[in-house]
Amino acid sequence: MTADPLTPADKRLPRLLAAAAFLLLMFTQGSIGFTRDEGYYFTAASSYEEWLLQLLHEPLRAISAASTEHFWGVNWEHPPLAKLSFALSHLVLTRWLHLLPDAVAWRMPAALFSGLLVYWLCQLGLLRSRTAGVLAPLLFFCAARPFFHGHLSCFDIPICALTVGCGLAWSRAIGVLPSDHKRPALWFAFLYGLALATKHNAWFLPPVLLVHALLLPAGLRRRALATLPWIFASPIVLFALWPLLWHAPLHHLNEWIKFHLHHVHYAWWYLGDLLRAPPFPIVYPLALLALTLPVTTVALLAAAAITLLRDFLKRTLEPQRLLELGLLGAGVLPFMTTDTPIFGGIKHWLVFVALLCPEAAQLVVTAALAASESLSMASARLAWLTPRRALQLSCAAALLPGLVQIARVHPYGTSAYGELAGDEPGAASLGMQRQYWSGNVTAVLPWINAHASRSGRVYLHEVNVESFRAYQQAGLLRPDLQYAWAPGQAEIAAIQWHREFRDREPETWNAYGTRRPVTGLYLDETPQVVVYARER
Amino acid sequence: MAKAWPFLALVALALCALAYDASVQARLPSTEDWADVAGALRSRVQPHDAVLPWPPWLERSRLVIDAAPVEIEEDLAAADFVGVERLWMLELASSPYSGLSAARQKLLARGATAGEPLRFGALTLEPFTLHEPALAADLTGASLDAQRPEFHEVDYIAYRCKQVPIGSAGAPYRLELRGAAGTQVHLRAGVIGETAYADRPPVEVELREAGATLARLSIPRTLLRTHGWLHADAPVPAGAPERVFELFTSSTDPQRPLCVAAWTTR
Repeated sequence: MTADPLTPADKRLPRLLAAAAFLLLMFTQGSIGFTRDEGYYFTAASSYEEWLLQLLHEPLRAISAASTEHFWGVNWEHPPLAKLSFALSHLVLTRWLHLLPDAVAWRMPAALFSGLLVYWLCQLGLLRSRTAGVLAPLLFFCAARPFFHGHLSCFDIPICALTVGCGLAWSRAIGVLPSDHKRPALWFAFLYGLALATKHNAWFLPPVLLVHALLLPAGLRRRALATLPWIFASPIVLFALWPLLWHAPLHHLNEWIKFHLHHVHYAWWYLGDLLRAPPFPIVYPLALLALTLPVTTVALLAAAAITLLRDFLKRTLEPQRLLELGLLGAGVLPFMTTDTPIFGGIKHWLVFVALLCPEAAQLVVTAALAASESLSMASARLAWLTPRRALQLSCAAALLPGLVQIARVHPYGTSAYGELAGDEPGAASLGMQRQYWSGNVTAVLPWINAHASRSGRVYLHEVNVESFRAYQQAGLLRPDLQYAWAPGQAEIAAIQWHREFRDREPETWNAYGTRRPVTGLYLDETPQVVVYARER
Repeated sequence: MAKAWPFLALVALALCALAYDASVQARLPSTEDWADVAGALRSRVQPHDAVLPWPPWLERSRLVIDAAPVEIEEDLAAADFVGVERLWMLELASSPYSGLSAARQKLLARGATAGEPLRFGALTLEPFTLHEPALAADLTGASLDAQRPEFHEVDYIAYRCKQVPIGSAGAPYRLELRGAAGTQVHLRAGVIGETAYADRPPVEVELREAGATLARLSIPRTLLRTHGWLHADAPVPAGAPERVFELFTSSTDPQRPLCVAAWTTR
């Protein structure tokens, strides 16, 4: 952690990169389908938006138990911040200003949270070197799955960003890093409150911070232990942002916690086994990262993890890197207990990836500079490999496979696999989850719009009613089409290829009297969405 | 020079990754390849031919091929190709981890003989003559020639099988099946869909002829890495060329979808 002093231009770098990421994600979100979870969160955001309007016009009624239960009882199992931001965005940008279509307004905060993640990852990188500051966020987002998740109105990137932000705020609050804030401990407590209000992954932070404090040198330890109690102020933010807790808070908190402690297990296909219930393989999260990310990213993240662990064991890990190791461990270890739900691809432990990126970025920088020095000294013919060129080459090497993966797979991010899996065809042969959340259906919506009869019923399989409506609102699906709950009720069925839902396809054949699809989405030949139509 | 190795390794890894990605793309069939395969099959397919895509996920074949039924099977050692005399294995040979060699070996190990393969870009059509006992009677619509067959999913494979009710332990469900006796009777059964994985009592399936049990299956809950589509094969006792078989199903917990296939071979 021996970066050169930052220039004013360096200090602007996080803001510039964050703005660029925001714009890029807004520009590329249009082709991404509305995932199942987004459908639920859009509905929740609509309900919270109605509450916000009531708060403006009838504040006393809005804060009554009847009103908070009515409007905030929608999607009570997740805390409010992300959904409230979707609601506010829609209220201002769509309802009042008529600037953005519904779904774009709901998704805009997701791009903002991604921008925040870029901002904080850049700051972590800049602690190491200027190049690492640029490379760290790029390394994270230059892979199809993180890039995909960066667009969604969900909680995974927001909690990832806020975990990284909390880490930085903690380091500033306890004096590991210099701080511009007048009350850095209060800022830390506020950010942790926002994290609590985003997703339950935040529950794992306090133990990590306590262990971090205890492992620090004496002077820092005292300050850290004195700062830690500020965390008890954080729930105020959660309470302030979550009107559901304003009445019967213990009941609602209890329901929230119970929901996640006893979460159902969804079937998930992994190396040929359809995993339905614990025990799950301990290495599942790491194996999934290895198989889904580009191989260069996998290698760099592995090298970063090994470097951090090696320095930890040698007791040469600086306080900031020690914190990063703790936070990234807390990001992935809860999913290696063999009984934590494992559905949802890599999204639940993206913070593990994010917090390895600054270290990995610095490894790239170190490798480039060392190579430039040693190769140009070894042979005059290699003098062209200046430090600048070596840096450019190594950054390109680190990022290009990921960019290619995005170009190949976008907007079908949940289907992405890396070179170790043999890309999408290899993953299909290995028996890996083909896709999830139903977003890939966008590929066949134009065909359905062109061929469905007027007011016809269509079965879109994993697409829930909420996402169906969102497609209609966004003009991606004809507004006259009706939602069908089963292929037998519909004239067209778009079956999403899921191992656990294979029964839906023969059910469709029996109902339609044919096994021949009419169209489909075949990503590198792997079937993703297969469309059947009744003969008319 | 040793200091340069991490940099060189990273650049080499990236080049390999990019080359690999490009090679995977190059190994995929083009639209023309698919059209050529479909055309080739139109001119070559005979009655009792079926197309077997490999890897099994090569399901675009259903969209493209119209000359013969496309049958998806994952375990070629255990698969029943009822009423099929020749299989056209449609191979995407260079797809990563395709397991094509092992799949071919399984077909050869069950007595099939391979014919001359036909290549169409990335796709290969390889005919396999099965040399398996001829079908005597299709008792439940299990064969390729079945009129209006039903399909149901067991073990994630869509089987041609008949959904039948499950009777109670005291009053089993009974179904009469008529057909040529042949020399062997084959019984297959499994609980349809995800219900097979629920922790519930076994389902008993029995095939009788003239009051005597010919084949019996007890279908337990399907567990990870076990099969839910169970097999029983038995000789048919000598007698009349046409027989009436009786199928009985029962369980102490009968409210589940059950699928049964039965046929006789010569």
